[in-house]
Amino acid sequence: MDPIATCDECLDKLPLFVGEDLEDESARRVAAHLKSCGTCRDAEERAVQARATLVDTFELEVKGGGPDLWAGVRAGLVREGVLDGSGAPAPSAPVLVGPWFRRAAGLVAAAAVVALATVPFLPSEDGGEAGLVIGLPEVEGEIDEAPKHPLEPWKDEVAGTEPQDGDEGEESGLIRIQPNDQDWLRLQFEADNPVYSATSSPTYR
Amino acid sequence: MVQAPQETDPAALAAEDHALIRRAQAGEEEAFSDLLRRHQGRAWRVARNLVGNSEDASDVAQEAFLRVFRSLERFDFQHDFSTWLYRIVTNLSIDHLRKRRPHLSTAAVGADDEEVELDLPDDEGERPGDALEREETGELVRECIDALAPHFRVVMALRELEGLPCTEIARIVGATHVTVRWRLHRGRKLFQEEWERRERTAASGGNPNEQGGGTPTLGSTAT
Repeated sequence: MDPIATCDECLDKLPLFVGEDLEDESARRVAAHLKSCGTCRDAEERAVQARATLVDTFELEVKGGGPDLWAGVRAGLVREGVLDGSGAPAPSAPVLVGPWFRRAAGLVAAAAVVALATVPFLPSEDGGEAGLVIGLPEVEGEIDEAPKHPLEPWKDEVAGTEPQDGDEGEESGLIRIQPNDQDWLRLQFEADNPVYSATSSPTYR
Repeated sequence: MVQAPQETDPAALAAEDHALIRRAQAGEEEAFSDLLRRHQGRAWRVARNLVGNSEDASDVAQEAFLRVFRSLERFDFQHDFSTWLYRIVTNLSIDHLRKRRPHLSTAAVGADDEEVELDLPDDEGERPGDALEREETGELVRECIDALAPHFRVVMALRELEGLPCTEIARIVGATHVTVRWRLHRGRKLFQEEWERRERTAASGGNPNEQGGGTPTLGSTAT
């Protein structure tokens, strides 16, 4: 590779060069070009000035810092019933419930739902087949409510809990119960969320 | 009361954050208030640069900490608290920008006129016109920033103001390192073009906001 960048390459890389965001080799090639090209040096100067103006404005806007947010946040938590007005957490404060508890609660809830839904379809004495199918791969990707992006919150169809930031949906489980061609029940879980999402065919009971 | 951390060792700061989170998870309100006060400055700064005025920034930052509290029990100790907080603040700011009716925010800095004036340094020897000129420049720059699509603004605020490396920004915005560098590259370029266009127009005595129907959001169709 030529140790000196061309004008086109130099101009293309200037936005990252002026912020020292280029990788070392690219930065060296651009710097070498700038030493010998007055036109590109002019462009570099304009890019430096524009960036400096932006940074100055950013810094001016936040000069002095923001307000102390604790009073407002605390008032919000008291309104939600998470904290009481005396300063101590309310007895039912969710902060007292650890992640292990929610995971366990989720698993218990899931097991209960699966058990209840499965009982009617257990093999009969005359040798009929069970209708329980778990984890059918073909339903993956068909979940309408699944987030398209890791930051996009999940939507709970059953409990309607408010989506929380940090729900990345990376760990999830899927169970499908299908006793016959028409009836099906689909349950979806998140590792850290005891509330499951359930969808079913209109005829499923 | 714990103020913003003075230490510069990121690992030590993260460890202190984690200790506070564990105490908060155990029900200590004071630990959560300490955590908030360590990070409220950066939360407000980022929100301020993204939403364009101090009042909305305070609302966004406050809502961010409420969400932090609600989800604190699920905090993943493999990550830094600041990364999580930045993510919540930037997401809320973007939501705020999307809800806000699109407009040319000629009043974006003007909304904080009083504060900007109060915040100006004790300008020994500064001519009276300097402060006004700086304010006008700030308004013009804010218009250029507001003309950028939110995903460019987020990356530029985190890089230019907070000084975060692209790898950290990538974790915050949930994009690849390459995408973040591309947004930074494109955002700086779009900002410079808009800034120079407005300067030229202003120098010629025209209205910088007049370009056939107003300024579109720059880069709104890009990824």
